[in-house]
Formats: sequence, C-alpha cells, structure tokens
Amino acid sequence: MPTGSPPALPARPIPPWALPLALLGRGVLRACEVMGGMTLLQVRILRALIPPTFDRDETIRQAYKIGVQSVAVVTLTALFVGGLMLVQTGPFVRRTGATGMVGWGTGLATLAEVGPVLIGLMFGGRVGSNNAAELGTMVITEQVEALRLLGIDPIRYLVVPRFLSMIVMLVLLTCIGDLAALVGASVACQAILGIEVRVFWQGLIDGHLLDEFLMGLVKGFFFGGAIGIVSCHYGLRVTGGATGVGRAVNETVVTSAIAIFVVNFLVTSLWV
Amino acid sequence: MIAFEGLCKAFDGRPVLAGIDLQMRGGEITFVIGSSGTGKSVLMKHAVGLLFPDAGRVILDGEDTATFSEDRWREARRHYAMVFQHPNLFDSMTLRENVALPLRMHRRIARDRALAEAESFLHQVGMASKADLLPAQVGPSERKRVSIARALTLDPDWAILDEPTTGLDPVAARSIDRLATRLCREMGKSVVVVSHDLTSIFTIADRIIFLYKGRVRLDGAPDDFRRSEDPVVRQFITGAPDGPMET
Repeated sequence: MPTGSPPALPARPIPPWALPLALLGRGVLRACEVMGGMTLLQVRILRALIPPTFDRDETIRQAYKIGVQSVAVVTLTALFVGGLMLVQTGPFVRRTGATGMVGWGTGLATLAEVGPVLIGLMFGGRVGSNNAAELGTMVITEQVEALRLLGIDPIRYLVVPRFLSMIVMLVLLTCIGDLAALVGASVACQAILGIEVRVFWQGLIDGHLLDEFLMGLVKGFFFGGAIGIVSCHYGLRVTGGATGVGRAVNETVVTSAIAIFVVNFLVTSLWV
Repeated sequence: MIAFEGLCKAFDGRPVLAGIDLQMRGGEITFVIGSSGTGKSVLMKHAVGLLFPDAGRVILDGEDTATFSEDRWREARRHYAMVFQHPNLFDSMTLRENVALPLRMHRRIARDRALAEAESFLHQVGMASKADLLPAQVGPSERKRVSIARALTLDPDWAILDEPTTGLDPVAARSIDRLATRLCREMGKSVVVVSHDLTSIFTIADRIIFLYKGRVRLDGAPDDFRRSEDPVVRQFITGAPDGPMET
C-alpha cells in the first residue's frame, strides 16, 4: 500500500573520531540499497514473465538494436583479440615446438574465458551504458511517468524486452565473437608462426572443447542478465537531470564490469 | 468524482499542500489555479497515483485510494487520464505510433490495426495530416494535441490537463482551449485544467478552484472569482507585483 514519504530526520554533526565509521556505514547502506533495488527489479521482471505479458514488438526492436547493431564491433574486437593471443603465445610455441597444441590452447582460452568475458565487457560498455542513458533520459523527461499514466507498466514495456534481448543477444554474440576470435587466431597462426590454418583448426577439433564452449554460452547468458538488471536499475533511478544520466551511465559500466567478473568466477567454479 | 480530504504533502520538510478539502464533480470544466509553486500539479498528481499523501485521503468515485495496489492504480488511470505540461511523447516513435501504443497495449490488437485506429484519434485533435512525423518535427502546441489524443485512446471519463497553454502563443493557446471545451461539451469528458492562464480561465471554465499556500482560497464560478474582494485573488487577477500575495 502506498504511503507518504517519511519525515526527514534532522542532520546531526558527526564527530571526527566517528567519521570513518560513518563513511563505512554509508557505503554499506548504499550497497544494500543497490542490491535491494536490483533484487526487487528481478522479482518484478519474473512477475512479468510468468505468464509472459511483455510487448513482442518492443522486444524485437530492442533485440535488433542491442544485438544486430553490435555484431560489427564484437566481430572486429574478437578478431584482433584472437590474433593477439597468438602473438603472445607465438614465442612459447616456437620454443617448445608444440605446434599441434596451438589450436587447442587458443580454443580453450577463447571459448571458456577470453571470449565471453571480453564480449561481455564490450557489451556492458556499449549496450549497458546506452540502455541506462536511454532509460534515464526517459525518466527525466517524464516519459516513464507518461507510460504509467497510460496504464502501461514500465517494467513490462521497457525493462522486460531489454532484459530478454540482452540475454539472447549476448549468447548469440558470444557465439559470433568466439568464431571471430578463432578465425583471427588461425590467420595470425599462419602469418606469425607459419603453421597452416588447417593444422590450427584440426588441433581445435581434436581438443573436444564442447564443454568449454557451452560454459562460455552459459556465462554469456548470465552476463546478459546481469547487464540488463544493472543498466535498467540505474537508468530507472536517475534523478537530477543530465548530471544524473551521466552518473547512471558511469555506475552502469563500473557495476556491470564488476558483475561480469563475479559471475565469471561463480560459473567457472561451479562448472569445473 | 474526485475528492480530497485533509490532503497534506510536503517535500523535504517544506509543506506544499496543507489540508486540501475538495470535491470535483463530473461533467464540467474545472480550473485549478494559483501562482507557481502553490501545489496545483502536486494536487492533481495525487488523483492519478503519481504522488501519495503524507496525510489525508484521495477518493475516486467513492473508493479510498489508500488501499489501491499498483495494478489497481493502472486500472484507475484509464478513467482519469492526465496530460503533463510538457507533452512527453516518446521521441523515437512517430506521432501515429505514440497514439497507437496504448491501443496495442490495452486492447491487444495487431500493430497495423492500432496504427490505423490511431489516425482517427489524431483526426479528433486536428493532427491527422502530420501523423507520420516525429515529435521533434512538430511544434509545442501540436505535441500537446497529440498527447491529448494519446490520452483519449483510453476513453477516460476524466481528462486532467496540466498547464496545457503554458509556453504557447495566444492563437495556439486558444486552440487548446477549444479542444478542452470539445472534450467536455461534445465528448462528455469531465475536464480539469491546471493553469494560470487568465484568458483560458475566463473563457472556458465552469468552476474555479484557487489555491494559495497549500489551501483552497476560493472555490466558485468564474463570476465569483472575477467579483471576489479577497486581496490575494484581486492581486492574482490584476497581476500587480506588490500586494499581499507571497510568491
């Protein structure tokens, strides 16, 4: 049941000796507030999904904007990351003569860790920040309130389509990025080490890396969900005009990156 | 009917509404007026559940809104449509798509059909010829018209217009007045206009509620307002910079 805002407590001066404690307390309260807000948002998303009552057209539009328009940047980044891995490992392979291991080693690192994490970070920077800025601007220009006035639930219309699109598209982009990184690595393999592309791919196939590939996709799934929650949370809580939007974008990028590394650790620990 | 009983609201300890007792009847054009910062918009935002009282009650058609869940509010907002001062159209959609959105969401009709139906609502506000433009490509009064058309798709019983003529030139402002009159007289909507535009007030109002310092200072017909001897009301009408009114 809605209630009025509680009366503001009078501000009391903090004695110097208690300042560190006050700062710590403020930080803990802030963290609890953010975590609580994100948990609440997840609950509201789940409520909208069971049974599914979100806008299909908006979901398709978001999937196009989030996913299709990210393909080029993800592919280009992954190509060079794949190539870079070969540049880094090239001297070691030359020294040991372990040319048959190049495909397997690169594939293992790419599919399990480097691919999903780098693509997740790229996605968080590009899509997460854009999403927070877009929602934040909608909040400060009262477009979100307009939705509520029209009897339209902003969670169902704005948040759920973005959340679902980010999950689906990040899984697909992880597939595309993995492939691009391996292509980049195989080309660099031939150019730098003089090892035939065929040998690289044979080593990769013989390595039986399906498990690592699937783990990468699971990571993409959770990274997409985390970026969706974080960016929607900060976007919808914008206050204070353009400064607030900038702050929301900044918090989204930082929190998404932290979330990606935490989720990566958890999924890897549980999977291995 | 919209009723407020002892409504109080403060922001950061500063009281904006200080005990409003008021009933708004249907079937007429009611103006809520007063100088800037007297809580006119704050009052009406309570009627659509965008703000909640610190004390007092908001009653819609005999139902105390204190018990409303967010889902119940969503239902109520379809009967009490509010159009903001700034016509907050969705800037990535054309005018037609803006108007079609509530049709699609509430009536679950196909996108193409909703877009076709949106045109008839745009026609009602004289904007059908610009249906495929983006909000940024039309003027402020046209955006206000479209936001009214979008609210009309809900077929509300009440239309609450928040400062609809603010920032418009006199010709555009009078066309909004005419639209408000049509909403009431021809379409049978109860209209509440939050305003301090004296021309609008004296042209189309059936009833005037004058707020001052968070309370109702005057509640009556335009003639009562015009003939009032209250020095605060007199100063508001004449616009004299000096007088008893605190701004």
